[in-house]
Amino acid sequence: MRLTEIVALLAAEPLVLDEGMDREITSVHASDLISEVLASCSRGALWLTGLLDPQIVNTAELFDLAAVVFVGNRRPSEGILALAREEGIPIVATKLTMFETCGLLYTKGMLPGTRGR
Amino acid sequence: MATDGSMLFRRTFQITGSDFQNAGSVSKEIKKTLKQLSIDGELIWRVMIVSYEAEMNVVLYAHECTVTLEISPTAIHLVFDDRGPGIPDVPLAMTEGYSTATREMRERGFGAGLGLPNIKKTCDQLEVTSTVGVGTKLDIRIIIPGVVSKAA
Repeated sequence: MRLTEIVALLAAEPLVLDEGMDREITSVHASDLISEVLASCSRGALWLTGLLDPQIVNTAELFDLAAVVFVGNRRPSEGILALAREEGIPIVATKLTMFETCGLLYTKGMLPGTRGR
Repeated sequence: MATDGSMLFRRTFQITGSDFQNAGSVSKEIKKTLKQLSIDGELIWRVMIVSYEAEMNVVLYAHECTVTLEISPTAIHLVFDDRGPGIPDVPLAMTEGYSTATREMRERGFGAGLGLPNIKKTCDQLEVTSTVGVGTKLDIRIIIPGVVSKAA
């Protein structure tokens, strides 16, 4: 799926966009633990999280993740968004819960963004 | 430190403990450097796992750390030499899920006890030496695949 389609599916608000909006995304990693992303997330995955920390953006950039979706109606701070703009990491926010977000993406055939799968 | 005559590149960096503001910046610099040297993306990604895990360990637990990056035609060599509390039981710290993280660290999304095991899994060679009350040194090597070392 393209990020634009994911935004529509999740009725999400695109907060930071970049030229990568049309990139094809095939896998998703859902976690609030950065440690877990480092240990098991695959390259190019979409990251769903409820953790609002600037380190999310650094992690997404360092590990070539496609974009970050903040779930559960959480608004990232302007600092997080500024960092994401600087690093070219697309950020979207949805009011849907983690469970609902995962469920919708799963029905669209998205795969686990987990290494070795 | 290797005294390989075919060393292409050597640079050192500093990490300050508890400096969450700049956490990840050394890994970013390393990524930039590897990109400039046209290192393969998949390999850079592996180096990032290792370097970011090690960098966050310093930010979370240590006082300061000198990082040395050396690139030869055959390997990427990273040394994280920190001044900090040290690790009393290295094999235990290498066990997945074992963590001494505080609540604050966990609230920041870290401290799952996956760091050192993940470094070991991702790199080709890891040596951990630690002295309690002095510090910890990680000596990490990642082989650049597909490159046959030319005889000198």
